[in-house]
Amino acid sequence: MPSLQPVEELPGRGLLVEVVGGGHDGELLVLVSERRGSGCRRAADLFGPCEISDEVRVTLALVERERRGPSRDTASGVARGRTRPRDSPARARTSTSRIAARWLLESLLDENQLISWRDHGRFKVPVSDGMVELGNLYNLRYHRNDGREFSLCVVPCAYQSLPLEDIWTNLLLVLRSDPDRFFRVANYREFGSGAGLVLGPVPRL
Amino acid sequence: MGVMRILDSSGDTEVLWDVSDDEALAKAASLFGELASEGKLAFERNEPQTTASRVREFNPQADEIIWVRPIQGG
Repeated sequence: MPSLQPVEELPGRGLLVEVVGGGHDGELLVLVSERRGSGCRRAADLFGPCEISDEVRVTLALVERERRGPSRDTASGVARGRTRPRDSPARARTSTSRIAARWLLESLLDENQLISWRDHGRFKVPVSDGMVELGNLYNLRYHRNDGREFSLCVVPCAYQSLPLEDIWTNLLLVLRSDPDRFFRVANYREFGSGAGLVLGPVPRL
Repeated sequence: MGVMRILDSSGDTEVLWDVSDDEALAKAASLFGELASEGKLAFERNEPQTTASRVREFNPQADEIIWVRPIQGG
């Protein structure tokens, strides 16, 4: 029968655990208390369907960690990477980094954005003259209020080293706080124009 | 207790500080200046907000500071 082995406390996020034994040995799970609503979710839920035993499911359902609870780890002033304390295969590191990145992104989304993100892997960010849809790298949709639609290409510097979810967090924060800069640096093309990408700034209303 | 989250290949690296811990506070403040000088952008969020605001100075009272990278056309 599989059991759960604590791997790492994710401060403000929950507890990362590993399934030990059974058909899902080595799978990483995160026990979280969601910002909106209560309950625990499997890390696997973040990355697609995965079956685990009812017993593990019940265990998960019984354990809940409060965000920023009193047991929060303190590593004052010390930078800590999110790698497993034991053996660290690349698969586990990748899973852990994406869990962390996804948690952060979802914590920044409003209800509608969160639903859209979880259902479709993309979400819309309102701007003064329309809406920008994040979720498709190199092809961000900009729906302008006059009905014109553009494809934008904007990325964080050295984005190749970031988990995909962090790229969206990066773009989301910059777009919300400084949309003028976002549209200034973006390369773009208008749908239906037949033209290639053009250097920014993107024409706005 | 405050936390800085610096986006990187690990998802993010965290630096925590407590306002009552002078050493941790000084390290966090120093790191803030270092990251800002690298051109990274800081956003402060306080519970229970989902929105984060751009900041240019270290606030020891902040719940969370998220560091992101400058953006460029792709």
